[in-house]
Amino acid sequence: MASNKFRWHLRIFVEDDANRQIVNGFLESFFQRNIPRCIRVLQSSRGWDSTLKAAKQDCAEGGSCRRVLAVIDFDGDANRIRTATVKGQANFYVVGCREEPEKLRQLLQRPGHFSTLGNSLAREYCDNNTSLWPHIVNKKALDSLMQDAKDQHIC
Amino acid sequence: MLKRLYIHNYKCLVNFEWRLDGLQSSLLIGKNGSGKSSIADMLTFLRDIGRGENDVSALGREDGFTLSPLSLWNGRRDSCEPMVFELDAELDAVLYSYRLVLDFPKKFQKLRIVEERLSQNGKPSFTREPAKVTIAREGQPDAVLGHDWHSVFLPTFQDASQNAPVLLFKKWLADMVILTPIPFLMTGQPVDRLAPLKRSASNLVDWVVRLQADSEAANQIGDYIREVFPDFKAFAIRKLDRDASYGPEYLFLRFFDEQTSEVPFFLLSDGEKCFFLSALLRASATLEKVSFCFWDEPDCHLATHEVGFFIRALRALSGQSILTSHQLETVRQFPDEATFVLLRDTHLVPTRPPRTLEQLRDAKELKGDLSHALLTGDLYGE
Repeated sequence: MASNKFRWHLRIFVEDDANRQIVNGFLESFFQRNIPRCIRVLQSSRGWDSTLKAAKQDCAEGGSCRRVLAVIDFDGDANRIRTATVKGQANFYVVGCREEPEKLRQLLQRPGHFSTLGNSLAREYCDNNTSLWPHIVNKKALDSLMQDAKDQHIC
Repeated sequence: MLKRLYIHNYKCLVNFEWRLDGLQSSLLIGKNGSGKSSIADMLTFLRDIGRGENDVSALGREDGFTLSPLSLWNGRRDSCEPMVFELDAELDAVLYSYRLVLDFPKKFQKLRIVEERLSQNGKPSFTREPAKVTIAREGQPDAVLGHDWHSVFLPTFQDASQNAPVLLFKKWLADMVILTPIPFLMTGQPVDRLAPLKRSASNLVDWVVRLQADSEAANQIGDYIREVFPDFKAFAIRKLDRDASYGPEYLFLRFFDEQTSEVPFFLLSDGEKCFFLSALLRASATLEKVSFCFWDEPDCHLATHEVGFFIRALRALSGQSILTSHQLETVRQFPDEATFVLLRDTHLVPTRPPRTLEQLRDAKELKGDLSHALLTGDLYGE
């Protein structure tokens, strides 16, 4: 399917290189390497707050067919979790590591890469396995986005 | 699957070893002159050997260049150091290791082969010193024969075993797709329907002719093209004048449903031609007609917003792929462990062995954001 702003499409804003690799690894595993063109990963800004800001703005300007997912690090900051995950904007979703991706990577059975962490998260997501997902904040948002994508026959 | 390359004394690559460790898709980055395309050259020479070319000075000729003595590191005739090419590939659980060593003694007009060797799982199939070839034979004494020292032996070598494993290796070499496309040269006219795809992809239509005979391939090509051009309907090779009984044939692409909406391939833009080429490659790989592809700068003709999708599609090829690039968006499609950086300080020193972005990060030689390091040249030590 071609990328078309009048059809369902998803833009994923990632905070940094580590999150980009995790997201790409997740998508590659989830879609068995054939990631649909209606999903685009963007890394335009640095830092969790500017990523959130850019993602929210893109969502506000995108019309009803656009979904925006921001992937940020929460760094164990309870305040950030409250601020970022507060409901208030339609079609906007936030997820991210409760601590840092580096720490989560160490939980893999053998020393892994960020991309393999993404692969493992996708496998666990499909298998409803919960060894890695408790370390991810706001999985509910991802569930909701996935359901939306399923309704559109994207996955 | 390609496992390892070793190049010594070829252009800027000296004692250069690259282990791919089973990576299905990898990216080479480095500043201009760091040796990315030289790796494509080396693969082109070996591909030509696989296709049966044994004249050492004819290797690469079909693609407009040759394995010249000038390619020796610094072009020094007085150097005693030979040029070495080694390639390890695992095919059907057999590790094939091929080694070719060339030198350029005084009073010689072209390169001489001083050593050549092929082994399977470490067991030699044949070894060769300048003009003497020794063929290992199971349960029998080795066969020894003479051979011209400007002539590569591998194309001549035939394996008597039932499964013909050496033939498998030669076929794998011959089928390697190595691309440095020059869209301007893609005229859209079939030239030699049996000719393999050139590095410039100038004879891409010959490939189309072969693929379209397979209806599944034709359907897949169409599906891939429609990802980028939703109005694309079909392609056909026909004469300019539909009713003509003779005259040259051309590749046409039909958009929308009307026959009048056909566009000659040569009217497409450079980027559009590259999309078409990638559709051919993806269809061929899906149908297992291509198992290895090296594409030098696949993104250089594309609109920025298309680069990510294009590279993602090449990464998803069924076979093994190696890409090179200077573009940030391309680099962002690859994980750090599959992105190899070539570093070369000046024209007087050779390229350093490739290191992954992950290794550079671990060694604290890459700190912070990759885009910043690429855009400032910090990644290359600028």
